[in-house]
Amino acid sequence: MVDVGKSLEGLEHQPGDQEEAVLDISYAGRGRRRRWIPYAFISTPVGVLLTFFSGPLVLLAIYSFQRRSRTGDGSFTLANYRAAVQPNILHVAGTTFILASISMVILLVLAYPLAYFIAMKVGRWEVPLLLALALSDELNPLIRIFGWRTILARNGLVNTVLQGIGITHAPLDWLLFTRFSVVLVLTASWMPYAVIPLYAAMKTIDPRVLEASSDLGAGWFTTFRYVIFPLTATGFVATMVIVFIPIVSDFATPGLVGGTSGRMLASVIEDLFTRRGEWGVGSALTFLLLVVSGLVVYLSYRIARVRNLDTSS
Amino acid sequence: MSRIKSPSPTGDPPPRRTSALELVGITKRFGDVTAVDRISLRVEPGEFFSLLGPSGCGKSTTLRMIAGFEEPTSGRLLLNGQEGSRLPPFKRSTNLVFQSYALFPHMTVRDNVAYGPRRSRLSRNEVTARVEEALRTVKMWEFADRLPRALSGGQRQRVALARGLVNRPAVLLLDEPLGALDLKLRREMQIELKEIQRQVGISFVYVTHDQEEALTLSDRIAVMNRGRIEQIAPPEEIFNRPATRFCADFIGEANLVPVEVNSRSDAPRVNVTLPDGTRVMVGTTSGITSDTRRATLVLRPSRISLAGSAPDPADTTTGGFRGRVRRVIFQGSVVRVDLDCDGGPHLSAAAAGFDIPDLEPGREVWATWRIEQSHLVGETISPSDTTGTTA
Repeated sequence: MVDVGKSLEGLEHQPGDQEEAVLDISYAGRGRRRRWIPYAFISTPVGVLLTFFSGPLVLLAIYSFQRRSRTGDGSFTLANYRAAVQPNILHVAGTTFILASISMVILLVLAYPLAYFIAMKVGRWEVPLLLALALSDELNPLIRIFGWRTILARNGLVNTVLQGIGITHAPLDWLLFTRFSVVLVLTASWMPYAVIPLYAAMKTIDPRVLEASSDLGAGWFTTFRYVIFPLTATGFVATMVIVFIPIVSDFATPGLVGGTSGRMLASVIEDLFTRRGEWGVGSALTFLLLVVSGLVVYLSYRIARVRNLDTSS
Repeated sequence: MSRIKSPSPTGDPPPRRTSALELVGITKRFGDVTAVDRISLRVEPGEFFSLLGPSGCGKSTTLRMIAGFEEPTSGRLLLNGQEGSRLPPFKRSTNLVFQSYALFPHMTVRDNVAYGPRRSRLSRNEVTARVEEALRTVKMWEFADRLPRALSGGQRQRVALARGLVNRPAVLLLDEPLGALDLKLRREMQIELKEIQRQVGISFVYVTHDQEEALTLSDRIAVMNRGRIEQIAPPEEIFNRPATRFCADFIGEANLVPVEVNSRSDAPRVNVTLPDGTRVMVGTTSGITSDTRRATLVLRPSRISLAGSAPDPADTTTGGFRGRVRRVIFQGSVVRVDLDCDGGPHLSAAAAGFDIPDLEPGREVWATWRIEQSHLVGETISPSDTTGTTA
């Protein structure tokens, strides 16, 4: 409407512009008519998300505040949340965050050089290596985890080889069903998700900038600390977010290779839902986990934005 | 051609003095491709030395070997007299100004320039002082707190220069640093770059494919072609007495006339036969031996005069050709006349003006030149010629 007003105003002073004013009006009208089109395009995915993602979440939220699971009564209660923060569950939560953090650190320590080499050094092997990474993730996670069990078991590959070449004389017991195996399998499983965002961030760095750093007297660590890391910080945050949350909520890995000491929060939730029928407590715990994860994501983005990390030159 | 030049050293640097940089028989192969082929050169302290050549001639590879980003396949590289070909870039007393500037995009101008000094064992105050000095030298002090993306191309170029200078390297290497700037800014920066170089007294090794830039800036120029050095000499010598046909053709405009060498009786001057059969003396020669039969006469268009009649046969100081005007091209500050000459060669003459009436296509004129301004180079360019000029 503003456009039309302006055009009419112009008409008074410059009668010659009549045609232009008419065009303006028609464009404004067309713009208004077409404005719903983008919404139409996104309506389907939004609808799917609302139905199949948010819907169950709302149900879980309702369960978490109801007594139903124990007594069949739907009245409001906070008992589920109280049950969810009992010491034994908090202990598992502690283990979960420690194991997830250790896995994260190892992932990042390994993923950085890997992403660096794929992005900067391997030349024509770049695409094949990326495909190999993606392929390794295509494998069914259960099959992958069972694969690890055959490798780490008492009579598995590692123990057989170690004893075969005489490094150990008895099978190592701590390889499987321990926190070690959980961290190992988590790290291996989520490697593609750590490497790919870091790779993408590395790709935006001009290799000459790294040469300049070297030329100005910096060794590899200084170059990493002052050039590569700041320039890939957004990729770093993305990696943390992409990897940390699925690790924290992974139940297959701790369930299959964790034994009792490597139990994690998601296994407890699974247990509450599928074996003990405690839907209320399970829902409450799920929501607590969601809130904490959300907080982690929020803080990561806050940190990233506050520093105004921009990788464009 | 106007140029700014400090008192020029001779083609051969004096011995017994430690060169800032010395390359001895440096070769670089990438697989089957020989990018740099047995080149040798010396750069003296405080010298402005240019590597000039067409793209793909090996000049950038040479620079990257000096900086330490490529390892020579064979040969020796001495920095301040010390063997340095195996040192990594961060341990060399060289700094490189990249063609693309390669500034750290996440750091301010100040932090970019301070990056090098902070890697050395300088006190914080010393670092601050040096950074300010370097930024003032390139007139970028007011922009110290800007990020590179908030600067223009020319300003980034200055920061890149300051980032190299601030470390006071034995040799500052510059890889076509003005290549990305527009012509006017490039001319200004050329003059300023030369001023800065004289002021700081650091040796510059300057890679360029722009012959005018090399002539304007350099104390000495190494002309490279196909991985080899064709000539190392001060600009005037390169221009007036090119060592090879390639040098003559690549640097400045040149009329190249095939001639037959008659004798060397009147040494050092040589007598040649022009394509139209006339005999003429030449001023200077390069690469001519007593066996040379065929050679190329180099005549700069700016040194050719046009006359309406033949030069006096008794005048041995002037050579001349009869020809017909093919076209007359007005180029602003000069008029260029293309001629078809007797015996086949095409010549160009360029001057502010020619005082000949009716200068138009088809008119018969005489192209004349002063003998001492003509130069003769050996027609064939053999490897021994090339290495001969570098020794």
